[in-house]
Amino acid sequence: MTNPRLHLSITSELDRFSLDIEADFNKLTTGIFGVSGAGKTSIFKCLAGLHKGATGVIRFNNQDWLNSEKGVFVPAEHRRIGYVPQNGLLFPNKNVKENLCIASHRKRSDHSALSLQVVCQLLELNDLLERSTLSLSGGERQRVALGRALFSDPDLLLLDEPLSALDLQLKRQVLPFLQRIREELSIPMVMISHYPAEIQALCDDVLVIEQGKNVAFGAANDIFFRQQVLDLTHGEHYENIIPSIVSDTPSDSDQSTSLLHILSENSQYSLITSKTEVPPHGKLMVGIPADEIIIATQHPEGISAQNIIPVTIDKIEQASGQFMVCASLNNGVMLNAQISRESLMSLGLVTGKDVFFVIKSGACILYS
Amino acid sequence: METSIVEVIQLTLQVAIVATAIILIPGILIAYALARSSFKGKRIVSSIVGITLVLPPTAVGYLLLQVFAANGPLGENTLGFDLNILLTWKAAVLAAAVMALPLVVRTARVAFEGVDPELEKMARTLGFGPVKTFTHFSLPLAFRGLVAAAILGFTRAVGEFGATVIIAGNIPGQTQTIASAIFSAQQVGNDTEAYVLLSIAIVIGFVAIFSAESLSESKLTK
Repeated sequence: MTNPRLHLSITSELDRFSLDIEADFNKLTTGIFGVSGAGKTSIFKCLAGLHKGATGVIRFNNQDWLNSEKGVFVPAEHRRIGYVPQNGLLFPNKNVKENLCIASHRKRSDHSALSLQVVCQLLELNDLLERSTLSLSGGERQRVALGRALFSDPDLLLLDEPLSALDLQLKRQVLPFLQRIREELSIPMVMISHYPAEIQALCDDVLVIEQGKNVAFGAANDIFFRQQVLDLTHGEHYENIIPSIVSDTPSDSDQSTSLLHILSENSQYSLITSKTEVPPHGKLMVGIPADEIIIATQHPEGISAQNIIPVTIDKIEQASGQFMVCASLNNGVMLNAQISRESLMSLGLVTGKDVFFVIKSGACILYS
Repeated sequence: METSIVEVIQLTLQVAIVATAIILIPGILIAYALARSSFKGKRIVSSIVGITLVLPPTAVGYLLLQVFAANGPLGENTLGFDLNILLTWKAAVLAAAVMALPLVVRTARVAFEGVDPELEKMARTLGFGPVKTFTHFSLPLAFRGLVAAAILGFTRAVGEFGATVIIAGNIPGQTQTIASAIFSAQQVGNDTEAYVLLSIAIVIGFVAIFSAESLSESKLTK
């Protein structure tokens, strides 16, 4: 099941507009991106079988979940979906463990389903098991909701804005768990978000929708720089998400920064970030907001910013008055800087030009 | 205590318990349907269920009397046999049930409306069909409100007088409940008996309302 196929061809009348979606999801993780109220959650309701008004076809692993021409509608309880809604929706009359085990009745014995132990270990839930769900913090609720979905032996995970309701601190806590799920379990996953960074960090492909219609579909690391998507997002909240490896930091306690290697241990690119909260070793994600990157045409001297990365401009896209300058490092990592029209003109930036991206160590957000 | 008073209390509790037991399950199902589904004529159903709440109890009693009278739709001449309800304790149960039903439905409906429908949908995605979702999730989540509904229904049944006296009469030892016994005691000027009955009514009423209040106030603590 490494190549799951989810076919969607649905129409449905919603309150303010009609949903009209046509898409094929082939990758393990697919994101659905759109601004608030674009109809993202409605697509999930159709996928989960909770919205009866939809017509068309939904086919998952060659099984029709919906085929209105043939009169097929598989009810929600037979779709084997692990649904993680925005607010977690834990059952308030049950404790954490009871919530996690609620769907254990549908576990397939012959199937390599996850054990409770594995789920608890993966999501670090062991200390929460006896707690009341009412006493959990936002991040804990989200982890329990994820655990409940995973432990229900799902064929498809649906994550509705798993991070958006969380503040940065909690996002940092939950994001690595989602990455673990993605990396360690091969459960097909569809995730909704209105933050490009979250989708970039977790998804292979992205479906972009607006007012209930497809706008674009493509790879997560490139779609946000297509002009039609930039027109939608205006490049706002765009954050570069860069997988990195922490190098062994010197034991000098005065050291206030950490050295990270971008993508791989022997990478020629490194990043200096503020030291707080960097784990001593291992992989992590670094977020760099696009509007925090300064572009220089010459190697700057006498500057406080600690990261000066030489890049070649791949393309320049307009994002409502601003410009998104996209550059890829030679190890495939993309970096995008957002600058004003005036800066673009005065620097004479064009595709193919060699420039330097300048990043303050403090502008790097670490997700570990 | 006089045997007659003990009999009155026994009969009252018996009538109220049986009446509550009869209407509880249909009342909960009607309440759930009204709280969750939208169907044509929902308001009509809701109004019919609630009408005895606003009608004079004697009017309801008179209506029931017409239904069960010999020539009524459920009378001996129509059915071909006698249901033998009128002027028995069963008539008192019937009157109490009819009068208490709207209170049970209303309270239970509020209880179900307090349950997030998204939680029920969540249960569906976790593999529970509609019936199991109702029994395993909706009922437990609304449990406190449903107990309060039963208590309120029970108290209404205990206090029922107007409809009861018309179809069950006020026969000591057979159909006389606390409500009708207080009326009789007052009519004949038996103040001592009236006071005793009054005190018992206050105790039953207080315990019931107090329990219902504590149920609605206390949060889920598990």
